[in-house]
Amino acid sequence: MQKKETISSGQMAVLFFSFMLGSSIVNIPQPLVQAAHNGAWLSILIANGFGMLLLACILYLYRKNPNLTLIDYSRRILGKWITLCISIPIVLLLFLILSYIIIDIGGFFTTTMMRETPSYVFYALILLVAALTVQAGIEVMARMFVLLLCYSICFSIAVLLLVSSHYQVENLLPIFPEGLKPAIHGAYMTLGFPYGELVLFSFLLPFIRNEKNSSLQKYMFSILLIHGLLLIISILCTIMVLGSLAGTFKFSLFQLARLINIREILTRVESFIGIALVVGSYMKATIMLFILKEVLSRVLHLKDERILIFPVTLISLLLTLTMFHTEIEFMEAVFVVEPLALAIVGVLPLLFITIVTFFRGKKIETNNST
Amino acid sequence: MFEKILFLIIVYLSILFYDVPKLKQKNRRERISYGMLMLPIIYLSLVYVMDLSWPTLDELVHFFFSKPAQQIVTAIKSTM
Repeated sequence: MQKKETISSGQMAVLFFSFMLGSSIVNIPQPLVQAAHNGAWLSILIANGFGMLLLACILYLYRKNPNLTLIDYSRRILGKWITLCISIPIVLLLFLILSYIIIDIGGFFTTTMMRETPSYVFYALILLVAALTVQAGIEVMARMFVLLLCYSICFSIAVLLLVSSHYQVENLLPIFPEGLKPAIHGAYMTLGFPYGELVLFSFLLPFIRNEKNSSLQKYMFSILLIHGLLLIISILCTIMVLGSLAGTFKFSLFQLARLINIREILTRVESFIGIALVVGSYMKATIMLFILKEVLSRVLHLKDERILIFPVTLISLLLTLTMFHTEIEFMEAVFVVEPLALAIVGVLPLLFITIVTFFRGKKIETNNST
Repeated sequence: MFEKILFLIIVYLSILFYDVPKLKQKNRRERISYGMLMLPIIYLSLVYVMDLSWPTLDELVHFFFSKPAQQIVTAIKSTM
């Protein structure tokens, strides 16, 4: 039997930031501006508020019993069979989201940097590295992601600063050219990726070491706020530079980085933001794969869950290769279908279990202790 | 097709070489779980190699959620 791995609440906060930021800082601005125009920042504010609500629910359940995941709570409250009905869609959704992340990064490579290379090469390599990282364990992930996260954030901020000579503040006006409708639409889009996915992160919380947990809530809420702020800043900067074209160019930060040219010395820095996107997607894919492994092992009651890592990775690889034929299909799946699917499969059970635990909290705690 | 088959053979062999020695030491439940995961792998491999238009996970999600999701987006765009 393997020793249970644990990490500190600070390390868990780093994983949470990696999970939330992932590729969203590069990927979110374009589709969001396309849908919500200049009011895209309001969409992020609304979705961030929704994220806060979900995080409050997750942390409430964690406070009640730090050793239980959503599936364990469900097993205690709803019974074995209903839990199975909840767990299977969650597993399928995890497979789907993991494949979306990989498709996105493969698409980035084949459209911008390495157009001649077949996409399966990128899919296979990223999934292989993610699987090996998951095999190494959550402690290794937590330590390694600190550096990668710093790289990702620093280069994103550096690009936003270096491109500041192109900013035209008047591009931000009018704020709501078509009223509030587009902003609400934008909020719906981000309720799936990245904010709805927050529910899935709750499966990692039992890995936190037993310590004074008062700082965990502070860390997690601060990170969600900072994440929202970073997204809003990148959206505003994209609009200020690209104006009405901000909704047209994919991978907005990458396009901004292409514009940087300081006295012919500092040029072609887009490769750095490309690496930031790859790193972000890799971190998110790794965390998602880890969660998938955890959920599967809990559903199947396995002692050694690591044996599942490679088959699960292979399923994800084959899904990425077979799911979509066009870019439009992929975008529709991520920004139209995924928010609803996540709401029904992940968010509704979480809210229901939170409400039931709120009223029967003591009983559940007692059950666990016996 | 040859490229796809070659790619899959490399991936399959690497995974099996790594996992089979470990599987021998595992209990029955773990072996059955591993075997169960092989079923979707074989199905998806067939879809990939032979370019079949058989349903995948995406079609399942689309079947349940696509229409209501489209209706929600249309409603948001038109009613407010």
